[in-house]
Amino acid sequence: MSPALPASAAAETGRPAWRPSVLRLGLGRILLEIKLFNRDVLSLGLVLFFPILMMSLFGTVFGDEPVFGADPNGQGGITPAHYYLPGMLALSTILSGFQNLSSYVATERFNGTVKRLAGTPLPAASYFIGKTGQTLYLIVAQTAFLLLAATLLFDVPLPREAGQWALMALLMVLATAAWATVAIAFTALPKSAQSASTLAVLPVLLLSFTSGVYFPFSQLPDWLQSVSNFFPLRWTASAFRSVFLPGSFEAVEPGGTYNLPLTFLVLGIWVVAGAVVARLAFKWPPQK
Amino acid sequence: MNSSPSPERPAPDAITVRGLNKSYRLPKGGTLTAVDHLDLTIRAGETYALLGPNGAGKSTTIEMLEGHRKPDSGDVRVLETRPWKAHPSFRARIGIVLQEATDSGELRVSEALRSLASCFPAPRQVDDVIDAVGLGGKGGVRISTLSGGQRRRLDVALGIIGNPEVLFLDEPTTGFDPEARRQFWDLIRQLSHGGTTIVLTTHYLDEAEQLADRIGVINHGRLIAEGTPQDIGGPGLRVPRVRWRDASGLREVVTGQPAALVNSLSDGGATEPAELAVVRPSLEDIYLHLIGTADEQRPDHPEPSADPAAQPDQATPSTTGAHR
Repeated sequence: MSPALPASAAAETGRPAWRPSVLRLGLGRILLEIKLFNRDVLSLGLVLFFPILMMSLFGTVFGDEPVFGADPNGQGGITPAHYYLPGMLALSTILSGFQNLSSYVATERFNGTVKRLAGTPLPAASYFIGKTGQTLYLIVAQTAFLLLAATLLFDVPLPREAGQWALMALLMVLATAAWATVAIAFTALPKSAQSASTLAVLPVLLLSFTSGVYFPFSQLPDWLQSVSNFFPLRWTASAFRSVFLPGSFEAVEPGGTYNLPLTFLVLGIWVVAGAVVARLAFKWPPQK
Repeated sequence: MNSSPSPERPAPDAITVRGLNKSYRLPKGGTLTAVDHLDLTIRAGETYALLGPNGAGKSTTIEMLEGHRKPDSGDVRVLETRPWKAHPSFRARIGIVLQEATDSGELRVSEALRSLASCFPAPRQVDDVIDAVGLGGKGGVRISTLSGGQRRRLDVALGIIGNPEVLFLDEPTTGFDPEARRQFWDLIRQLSHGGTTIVLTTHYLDEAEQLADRIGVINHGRLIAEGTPQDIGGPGLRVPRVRWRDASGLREVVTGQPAALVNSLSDGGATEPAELAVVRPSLEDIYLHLIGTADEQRPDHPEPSADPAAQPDQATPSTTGAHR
């Protein structure tokens, strides 16, 4: 054992002027969160490879002929992998932004992490900067993996215009942000970490089936389309189709249009409303 | 009592609590009073142990001192600051060792400490703290692979990394083996010698006896007794008992003059009464007596909550008058 641990001299004077740097601590949290996530091999693998796995499955089931959306002469179609790429990108926003983030934050609410951190000078904002950075890291890695797999394994043609890429990046960030705020608000609901990860699967499962990720959106019954219209995933999926699919596919969208302005409006409302609810619902320090 | 502040520089009290109340709404309706008009004063540099049965209000009290719970009413000052929603500069001056924690399993010991140290303006050296808690050489180990006792020491390390003036420990040695507890006590003594004010809750009477300058016994949300380990409960609870066996069976007499009684029993040392013993009540005897007295005067006390996380448990107004 070492000799007595003295209290510092600074402790005597008090430090009324000192305040922690939200940004510096936030950056530190980002590095820590990314390091932690990289060690959680199972989650990392699931989040990074699940969309690729799904795309491969569709390719296997439907073959690699350009039959999707072909005219009666068999011309102008695209491969199943090409058709499913936008849906898988949209799916990755809800996987990283909602399912992954909510189960992480819920776990940390119940295992003492949040309580411990809230007992230090760490500002709540720095904690969320850390989570935001981790989610961004995930979404960039996920998107890069998926696009690489699409072009290298399935010969999916990628957009050539910078504007298309910019639109995709903006959609990615906005959709992930919308889901992330909802995820944080959502973590106030469950009563245990176990029920949190179970509950988090539900919206992902349901919405991925009703938002045009697995089936063409226009094939859903009208009422189901109307319900899905309230959620970001349906809009994210169609906006990604506008980026990756040939122009002829716009005709099968509801109303024959991708309706990008409405997409941004819906995503924007979710980001703002989600942030307000998250701010109200998430307690720092956690209070019982 | 002991360790009174030096006359030339009277240090302010580290913690003052006046008329503190906290009650919880029960899920089935009704309210539960967890802390009931509690008054408490803990001096700077003191080691103070809060004792009490499960659900007595210990954890609720300590959580309000830490700023983790909002008091319903009453005044709480820690380092002359109200802890609830206090400025981060206040949080920099206190350290908290949570009752149970399983977080950060995938981090290495040194990573967890370094990350937490970065939140404080004047943290201790990570390596010093690792050595001090007896985890020397374990800095590079994943936290999830630590044993229960090692994990608890890490919790203490995380609590002191910020170099706090006041350290809160909620049942720090639960689940320790005897040797680990002794090492842990040494650590707490070192911190105390270094000038840290220490507030701990414990179920172990010997722990309180070993570490605490003063002990407060809390039951049903009220402080029912307070004093040094040697004085608590008053002289009335410390009268020795003389036990021996005679033809009529086991005998026990409570007397302030045990020597005189033994002298007469043994005819001045000429005979040896069977199984003769002079017993002074242990701290545990005194504690149980204090708790028992409180409960006898309170006929209806429901079972403690089964949920250890929701420590509120029971406490309704007690009629016991030992309240300072």
